[in-house]
Amino acid sequence: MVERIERETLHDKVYQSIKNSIVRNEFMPGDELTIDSLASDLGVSPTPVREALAKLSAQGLVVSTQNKKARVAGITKDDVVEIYEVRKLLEPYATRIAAEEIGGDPGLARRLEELRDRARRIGESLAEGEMDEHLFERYMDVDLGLEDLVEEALGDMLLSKVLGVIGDHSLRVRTFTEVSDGDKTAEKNNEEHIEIISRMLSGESEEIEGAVKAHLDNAEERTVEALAE
Amino acid sequence: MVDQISRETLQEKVYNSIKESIVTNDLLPEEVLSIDSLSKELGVSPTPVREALTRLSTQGLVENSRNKKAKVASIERDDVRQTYEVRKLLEPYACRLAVENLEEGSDIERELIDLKGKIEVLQRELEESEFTENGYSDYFQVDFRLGEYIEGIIGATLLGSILKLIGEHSERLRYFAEATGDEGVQEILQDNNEEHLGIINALLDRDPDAAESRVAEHLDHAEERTIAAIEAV
Repeated sequence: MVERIERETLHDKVYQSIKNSIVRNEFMPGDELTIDSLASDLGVSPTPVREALAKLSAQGLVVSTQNKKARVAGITKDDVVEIYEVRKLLEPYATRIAAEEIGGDPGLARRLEELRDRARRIGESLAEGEMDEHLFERYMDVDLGLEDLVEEALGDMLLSKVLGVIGDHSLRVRTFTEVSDGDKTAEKNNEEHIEIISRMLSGESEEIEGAVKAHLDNAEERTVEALAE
Repeated sequence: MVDQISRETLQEKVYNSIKESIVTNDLLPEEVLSIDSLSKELGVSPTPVREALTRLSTQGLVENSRNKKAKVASIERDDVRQTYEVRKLLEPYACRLAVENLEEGSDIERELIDLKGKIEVLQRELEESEFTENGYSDYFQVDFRLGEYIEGIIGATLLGSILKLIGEHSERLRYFAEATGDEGVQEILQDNNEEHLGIINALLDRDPDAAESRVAEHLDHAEERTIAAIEAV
């Protein structure tokens, strides 16, 4: 019993680790993955790696090429359009509702203000120089922090769960653009985040939806451009 | 080993059985759940029933606070509003997509035509007040199938997974009005049938605008009826 549970946890960890690397674009679309190297990097035997790759292949994140190799699945324009379609249907509205909740909760409002402060400082850093790994982390933290705050404000509403599913699916596409395009994308996205947060704090419902919709339109365009390069 | 497997299966069965009763509104919102009666009805000991209720309470289907008797979770107006909010954001658009992706001469198209026929039969029966138990279950099947076909046409997409998630979340609300109404039920079924027919026609006519607006209207009415039914219970 105890052994079996330990083995399951290990397999799960291997799966999560590889999946995370793909979703964060540390392994980029088209990258080759060898079972042996992955196993050696993770310090495990090939078996859990093979299983993890099989699972990821079923989810469309990885394509099996040969016996011991696989490739990270490509991201197509269709993938991007599909994700943004759904985001555009839900996020403008969800952000507006979240803003209403935040308006009534001083703790959440303070956190939102903090996010804006951080985003402004990131904007300043970007204006002064190039994006480095540390700045990128700070930027992603704000991006994801905003998403998390919106979900938290929505509590256990159905809307919140749905956003969670979208977030999981869209992270890979999102980080792809930032990773492959770097400065340009991050700077614009960061500005748009500041805009959205400001609208949320001032409570102008329609303007919130407008700002989110504009951001998503732009983000989609940038992503499609990044793919074409 | 064999014993262990049997025990798990029994536990699952008890859980599924109680869940089913709640989701189909056989057990109504706020109805008291007596562990004694449930175990007698199901022919099991109280333990699996108690465990099932605990599990169901983590899913929001049962209210199980200490010192109080367990109850079926209430359905608040807000629950209804929230669910329909999300459905209204997504399903009209999903139906528009379904129109654009419906292939001529496909299996799905044939099945939609079949479904249309079934609804027309149901409508005739309702008009002549010949509605039977069978008719009732046919009605549920039709509604369920229509949703499935649209999901099938959309395929294995992100939107499809989200619609599934919403479907699971809102199972209990789906047929609440039909299941709990007494007098108005006939009218509800007839109205729903009409609306389903309209949607299927829009699909078969390949009219994306009509499909989108008819689904939106259908959802508005469904929300109204569900809220009315909740307040009546």
